[in-house]
Amino acid sequence: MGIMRSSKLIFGLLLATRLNFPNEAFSQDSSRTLVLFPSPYPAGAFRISTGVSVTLIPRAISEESLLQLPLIDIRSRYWLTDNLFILGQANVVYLTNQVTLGIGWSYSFGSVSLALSDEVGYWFGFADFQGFESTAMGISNIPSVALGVEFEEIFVTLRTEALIPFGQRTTFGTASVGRFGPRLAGFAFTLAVEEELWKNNYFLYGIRVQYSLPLYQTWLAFSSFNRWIVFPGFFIGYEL
Amino acid sequence: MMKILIIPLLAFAVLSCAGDLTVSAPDFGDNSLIAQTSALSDSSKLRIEGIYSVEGGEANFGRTVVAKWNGKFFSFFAGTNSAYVALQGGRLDSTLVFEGYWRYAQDLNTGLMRLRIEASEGGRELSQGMIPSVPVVIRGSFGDGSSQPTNPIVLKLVRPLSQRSTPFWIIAHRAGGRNSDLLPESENSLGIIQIAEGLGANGVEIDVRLTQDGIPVIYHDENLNPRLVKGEFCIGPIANYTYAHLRTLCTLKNGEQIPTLAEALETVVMKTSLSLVWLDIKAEDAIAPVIQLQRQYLQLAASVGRSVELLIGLPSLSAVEKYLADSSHGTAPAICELDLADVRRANAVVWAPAWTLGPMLQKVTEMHNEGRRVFFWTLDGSEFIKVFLNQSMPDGMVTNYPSIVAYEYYVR
Amino acid sequence: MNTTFASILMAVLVVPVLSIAQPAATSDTTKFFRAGIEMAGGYAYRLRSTNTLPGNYVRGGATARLRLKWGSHSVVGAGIETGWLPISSLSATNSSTTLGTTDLEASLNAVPVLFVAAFQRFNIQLHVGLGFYNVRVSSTVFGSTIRSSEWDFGYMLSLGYAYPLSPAVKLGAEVKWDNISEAQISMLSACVRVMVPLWEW
Repeated sequence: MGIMRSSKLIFGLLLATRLNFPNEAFSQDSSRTLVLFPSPYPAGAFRISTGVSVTLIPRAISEESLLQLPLIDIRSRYWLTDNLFILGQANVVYLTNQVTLGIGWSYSFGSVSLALSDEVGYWFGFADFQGFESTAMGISNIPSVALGVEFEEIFVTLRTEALIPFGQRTTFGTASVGRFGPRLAGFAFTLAVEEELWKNNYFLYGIRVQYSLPLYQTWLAFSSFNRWIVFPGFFIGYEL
Repeated sequence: MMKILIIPLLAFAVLSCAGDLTVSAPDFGDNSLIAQTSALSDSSKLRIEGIYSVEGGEANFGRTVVAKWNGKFFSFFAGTNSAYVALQGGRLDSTLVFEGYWRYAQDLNTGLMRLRIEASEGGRELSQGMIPSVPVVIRGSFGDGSSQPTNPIVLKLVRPLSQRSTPFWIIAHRAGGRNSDLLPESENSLGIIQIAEGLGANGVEIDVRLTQDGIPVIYHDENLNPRLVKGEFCIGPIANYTYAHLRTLCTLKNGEQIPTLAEALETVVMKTSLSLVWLDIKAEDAIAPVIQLQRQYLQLAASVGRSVELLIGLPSLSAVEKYLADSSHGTAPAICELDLADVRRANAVVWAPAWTLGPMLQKVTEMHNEGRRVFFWTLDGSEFIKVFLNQSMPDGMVTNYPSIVAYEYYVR
Repeated sequence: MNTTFASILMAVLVVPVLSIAQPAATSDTTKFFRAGIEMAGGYAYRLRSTNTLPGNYVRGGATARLRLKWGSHSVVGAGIETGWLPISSLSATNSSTTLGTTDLEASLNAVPVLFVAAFQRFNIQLHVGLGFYNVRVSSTVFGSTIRSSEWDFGYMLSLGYAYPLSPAVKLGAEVKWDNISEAQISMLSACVRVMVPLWEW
């Protein structure tokens, strides 16, 4: 199907849902805007969370030295319109970092919400200690779909991402090597909970399971495995 | 409450998925023809080596492969799919027959392969040790897994391998590769030492640790762990275990015994044609006993006419100090991973820098001017290997994929 | 010695209990916090053995756990858990090895240190724990004894029921699954437990 025809189809579906299913998202007031839950919020709503995330590197790559440094995990969303939002995320620990920025569309069907989004991620890392004079960076595209279900005071989100790296460049000493060209490198599945744990203080926590080729989290291992491996991860954060 | 269970239950399910993959090397079993063949002369072996074009197996092996004899193995190395073929064979009347397996080094695909050089396509002359009067053509078939090979493949000799003025060492990391590379033998085992040449290596790097009672063994990690060993009561640092405890309680992942260094060196000298062993000393207290074993097995090699270097690896400053403190260090050739000043202080015959520091052509030249060699470690990706071959002047590389280094080096 | 230690802990079941508080009625929205201690003792069994050595092989043994918890009216509480987990043991006489014949004794145990999240409804508790286990081995072959240990990552899942004997004391039972994933050790335990309140604010 051509790009124009598919775009029209997607727009038509979105318009149809908008007309047939009244948006019930605004039953929540803006003080309960959440970072992950894919419900629509009023235009101008903004939420940011800060926390940590850890990706467990499989033994096949990390061997005896488990490279599971926790990363500072910052997530945010800003609502441009009732349904359209900008989302961004930063995972930082100097050795390995990724920043993503994207746009999404969400809709609510009662206590169930759905969001489609697409992000561009830029990752980079620095290794300038004994035995290393290396840096690396790469760009990837991360389309995703998120399904959210509200259970009384608990908001559960299930998100599926496709991981499509476009290119990567690694520098070692005076030399560098680059790889360019998109390829489907894997998928990631996130199950997250956002809930008020104490007096209007919302926390988010969850697991993210990545099934993929070795990606940016393991760049320092310079793994050349050409098979998909499971990378489980956890995150926890506080919504500011 | 049940809904919140989803996260921990899913987490447990995922974390519990620690399944071990295994990929065994297929063989022809009772259908093998190798036992019926006679050994080829060294001159015949040299005449079969070269760059070959590929017809019929391009999707698997690319358009060009390198063919090389290493010890008893006749191997092909491809630039596509990180593929390699490890064969053994010889002459059967006026025909040359080879059997073995092909494998993608960085993947799990493997299968059987059987090749022949017919009498009319060079087999007659080669079986008599003469130069073929016709272009050498190798014909055969390959298959998937243990299935009998049915996919035809034709290899035509394009040119012989270039003659180099200095040797190049392709040093197999952990004697052949890591357990995670899913090779037929465990890393740092006697079995993998014996197949390293089939993978493309002419040298091996092995890791040396000390048991509680001072026996040098070859083992990489500090701890006994499920990645490397089997044994319910094998927990914690290997240095906590006596040699008798290791023998009784633990085996390597594929069931082999954890070898002593003596057993490993005996295997290198007596059962292979490997020309270099890098003894990566993981425990500094092992330096003294390792120097003794180095001397003992160099003498054994000389007595049986084997030319092999055994180099004491010095990965740290404290290891250098221990080495220099040993009265025998002057006759114990070493390989040093540190900076040039430490290489000179230890009078190491080889400088071995990490590849992540870059090609460092100027420093490599300095070492060459002093009569020392340079080995980079541990290079696995073909694009990185090519950079070092083109921009530096290394004398060798340590790699988990000797077949990839072999292809990139010999195809130039 | 391990069995004795576990037995002593099991014998100390005398202190009253208060676990995570339950909302008294659907309209009760008062938030308050409580902290309590929980002691359990029972039997643990190793689910998947990797032993291939001949001899008298025992999977598991008497186990004891100690848990400190705190929480509010909400469903989720938190705590720390430790204890003693016997994994397996082996004894053999005149065992044949590549070095000769020997008597063989070996034992494997673990001490968990876990961060626990607690979920409770209708006196049924679900606990989820993440943390580390200090796995320890002791072995004697050819007259020589070695000891070794390491810290391994692992997690725990348990389901239990606690009956309030009094407004403060709860007595219950629990089934627990420990998975020391790094060491590939998986255990199933059944325990009797007593829950005790400590503070309330």
